[in-house]
Amino acid sequence: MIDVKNVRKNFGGFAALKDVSLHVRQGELVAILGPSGSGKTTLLRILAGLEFPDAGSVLFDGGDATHVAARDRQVGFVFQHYALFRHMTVFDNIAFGLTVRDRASRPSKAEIAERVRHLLSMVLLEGLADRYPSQLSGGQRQRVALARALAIQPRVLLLDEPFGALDARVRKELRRWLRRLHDELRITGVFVTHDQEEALEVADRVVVMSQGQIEQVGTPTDIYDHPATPFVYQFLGNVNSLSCVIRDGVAQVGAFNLPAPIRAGTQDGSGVAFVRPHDLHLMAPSEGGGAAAVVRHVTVLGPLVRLELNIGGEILEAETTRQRHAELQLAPGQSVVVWPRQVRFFLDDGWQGSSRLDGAPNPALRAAL
Amino acid sequence: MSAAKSSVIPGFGPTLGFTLFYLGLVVLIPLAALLLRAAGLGWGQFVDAAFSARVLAAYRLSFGGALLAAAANVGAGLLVAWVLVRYEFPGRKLVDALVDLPFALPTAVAGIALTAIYAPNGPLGRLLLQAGIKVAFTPLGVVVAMVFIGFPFVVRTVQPVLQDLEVEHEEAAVSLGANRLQVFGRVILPAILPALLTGFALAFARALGEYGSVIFIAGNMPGLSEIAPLLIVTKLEQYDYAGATAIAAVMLVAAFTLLLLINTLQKWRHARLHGG
Repeated sequence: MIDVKNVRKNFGGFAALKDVSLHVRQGELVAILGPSGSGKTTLLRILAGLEFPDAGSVLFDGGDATHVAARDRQVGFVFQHYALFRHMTVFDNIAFGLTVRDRASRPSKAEIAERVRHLLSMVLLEGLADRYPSQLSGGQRQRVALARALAIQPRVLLLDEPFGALDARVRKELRRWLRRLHDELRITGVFVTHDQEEALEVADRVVVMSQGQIEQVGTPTDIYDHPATPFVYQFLGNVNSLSCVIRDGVAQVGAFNLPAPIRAGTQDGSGVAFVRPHDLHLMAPSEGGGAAAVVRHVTVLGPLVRLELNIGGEILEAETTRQRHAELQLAPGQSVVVWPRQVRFFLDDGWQGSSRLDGAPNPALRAAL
Repeated sequence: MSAAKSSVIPGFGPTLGFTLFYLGLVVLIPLAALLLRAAGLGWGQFVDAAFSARVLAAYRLSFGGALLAAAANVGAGLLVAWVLVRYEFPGRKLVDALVDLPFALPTAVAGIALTAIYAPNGPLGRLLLQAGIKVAFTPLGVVVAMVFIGFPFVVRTVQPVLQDLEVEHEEAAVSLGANRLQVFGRVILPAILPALLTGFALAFARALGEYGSVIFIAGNMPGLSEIAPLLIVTKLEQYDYAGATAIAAVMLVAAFTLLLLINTLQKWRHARLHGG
């Protein structure tokens, strides 16, 4: 269990963390998600004792650990670039945390060998004990780093962009494996990532950070379905951001005229509205109403087709299926009609909400607008 | 030759040819001439010239002093390199530039300066004499001069390696529970050991061959504070070319053996590390 209370940290004049508070439950795997410079790594390093906060406190299992040195924290830390000791074999790397203990608490040689063997089998690297890090692949190195961190039986496992340096396929494999491993060990873990897919797939809960502050904490589904701020919405997946003005029951969102979202209080207002690329419905001009658009660019990505559309001078991104792509025979320069199926509003007065506009608008509504 | 085929930049043949030609011209031919000259002596004469009591004492001082000085420079050089790499302080660039001065200074100037400071009536020498330590005109003075001229080597070989050393490794060790001594001894030192060894070898070789700065402070008492290079010069001044080359040949072989040993040590370590 970790408690972070009102932690602040400045580097020179730069505020890396501004009043951050966070609770991590026992046995939970939490992802800290944010762009670079959001303070996520600083927060992780403060948890590890590699950095100390200017104000606020850090508690492990209820005990104050704010000023406890890294070597006394019993925290397992895994670095993005592994930080394996190059001059040591895999065995010696994993055993390092045990062999540096003082004589009184150091396990015997046989015990150390036994524990290293156990860890090696856990990270699926049996038989590689005598290799040097330079003889291993990236994925293997990261698993050695994980085994090394687990060897000291840490109270908390911290991982800094653990899969950041790996190629896409290995990354996917490794994060599923980490999830399974965590389900087995049930160790309290925090990992930092800038990859939203990774955070949503691996973590029990996700902490979204931006500019030294926590934007939202929640389960992956929570975060994705009910983003608390425009930042979270934009950060989770591709999105088109449009300015919007609501007046007299009509929401003008970019080039779209939509029925205003139903909400309490005053009806008029302005702010931003977001439309996910896959929520932009494409039609032939004869098929229905919406905003006229011109296709600028078509990219086929496996089963999906990504399009760049010019709608009234604004460039929007849309996604559609291969089938729809074939039906409409989409090509650069072609005119289409676009209708947003779902729009998320964040208004300046603080109101936010989604508006579902399934299907193409009926001609009557269109006439009314 | 397989290296030539897989190489990005072609020209294995000409470059190796040039390397051998150049090495031959600059290093091997003069040394061969030296050995040839020494070989001109009969065995008995050679032993007399190269292994008399006075010459043996000079070897002892030259090799012993150079080893001691190189060892001292490993410690001091590592510390200076560490400070220059790890800390930001005003005047760091200036200190960094100062390190190279022993390279640039004419060795005679260095010798005279050191002698002036460490002589019994010099500012430092007087204080040390009160403590019962005599530096100038003793073997200790020889070592001091050798430390001076060998100093930049260790700093300059270790500095870039320290610079590239990722702090992450130290942080990893600390978070695994290592104390400072363990971090240094088990993580940092192994990483910089090859550079330290190279620096040691260079400082040693430089100190061994040093002449100008040493002879001023040494006092050059036969059998006590006389270095081998001085003996060679002395013999040359007496037109005893064969005797001079005999001593030179012995020094050459000994120095070469020692440097080869250090290089082999490096190779062995490298192979062990990278699974060679």
